[in-house]
Amino acid sequence: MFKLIKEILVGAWSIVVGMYITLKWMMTKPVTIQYPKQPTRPSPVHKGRIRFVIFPETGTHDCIACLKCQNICPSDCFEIAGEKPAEGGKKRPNFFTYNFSNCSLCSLCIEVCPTKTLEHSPEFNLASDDKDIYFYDFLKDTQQRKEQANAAINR
Amino acid sequence: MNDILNIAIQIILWAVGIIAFVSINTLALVYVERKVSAHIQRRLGPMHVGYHGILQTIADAVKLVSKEQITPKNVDKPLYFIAPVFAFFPVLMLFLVMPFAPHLQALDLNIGVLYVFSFASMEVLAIFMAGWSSNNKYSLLGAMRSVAQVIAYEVPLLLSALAVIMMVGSLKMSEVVNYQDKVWVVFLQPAAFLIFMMGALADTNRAPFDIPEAESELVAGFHTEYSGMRFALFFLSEYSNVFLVSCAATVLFLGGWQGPFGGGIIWFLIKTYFLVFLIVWVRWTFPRLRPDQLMNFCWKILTPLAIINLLITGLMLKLT
Repeated sequence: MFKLIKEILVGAWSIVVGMYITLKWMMTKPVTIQYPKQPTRPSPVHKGRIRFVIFPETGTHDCIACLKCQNICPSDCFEIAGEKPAEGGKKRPNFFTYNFSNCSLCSLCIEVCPTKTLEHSPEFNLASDDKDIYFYDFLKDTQQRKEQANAAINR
Repeated sequence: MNDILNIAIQIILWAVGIIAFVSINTLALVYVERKVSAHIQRRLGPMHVGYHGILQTIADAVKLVSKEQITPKNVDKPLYFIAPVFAFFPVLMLFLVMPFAPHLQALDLNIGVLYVFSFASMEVLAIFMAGWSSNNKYSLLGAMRSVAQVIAYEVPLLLSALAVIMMVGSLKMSEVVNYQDKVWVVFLQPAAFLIFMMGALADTNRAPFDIPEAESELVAGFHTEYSGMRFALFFLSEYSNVFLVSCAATVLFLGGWQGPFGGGIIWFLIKTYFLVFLIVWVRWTFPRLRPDQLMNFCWKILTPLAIINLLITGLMLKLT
């Protein structure tokens, strides 16, 4: 008898606790982001298209046109040409294109790069019905990003 | 001849008004249910159709009405066709005696409370007709569970209501309300109120007592085979039953239209919709019970408590 009464009281208290918890969560702000209407940002491990790293020390990329990424790429995404500058120093690319519509985002190029100058960009919303926009010229792209970064600093 | 015409017009106006109220009320309740459940789970719920999704349920209703009405093979046709109507008809009858305000009551029967409970228990007939005639094992199992559950929970429900009736000394709805002009019965009979609300949850097949339509076990229970407008009728009756059970609890325990500043229909609706919110809130808080736990809870805990409550009420009435 005593056990039964205890059970009833404990059960009744659990009802109060449960209702309090759901009410508390009801009063907190929802975590849903209404994505196309509200801006959102990707997760920190999001793997977007490949791009050059812009190193803060040198202010530019460190590609030496070694063609390792072109050789390892399973889908032949890269087309690279480079030569040593006349005034000496490291070999640099003068032509570097990347075809995102073939890329399977396998990250092999990033792993094989000896100067660690390739990375996944955090971009998303990359879907399109136009094939041409998926040909990225990395030299032009890097130039644009540098200008954007400078504009952001000057502003 | 003119009198008959007058009465006919009156009846038609009441019927149209009640059906319109039932439909709009159900649309609103479905919206509230979806919003409350979403916010309890930290979601937003419907947001796109209209301001904060307020027209979503109307769009759903239009879709439901335009759907094909499927009749499966080998159903028991007369019962299959009449079951949704049977589910909806007690709802209309129950609105007849609900005292929304001092003069806003279609019929003040002197057996109002008895009338409410007897029509509320007709719901189970419709559910069993639907389950039996559908020629589907899930429907039949759901219907059988529903019958067992509703009949079991009607006992504590009626016993707890009986305690109130004993105090008031009348079955008339308006007298039950007038009795509570000083103090609401819920403060005199808190145990009866709790038992009544639990019985009401089971009676309307709401979670955590929704085993007749447990979707993880029984697809949709008794209305598995129904589609289109027939399904909509079951849906209407389910949500209207939630509203009506809250109405009955308001009349019996929360003082009906009584309230500060003269009372009126506003107070009645505030109390009723608070109870509706409570029922929705409970649904999204607690998991479903197993059928045997359900029966144990009813026969071993709720019914004895209701009987003890009734005995104490009788004793106190005799002593004072």
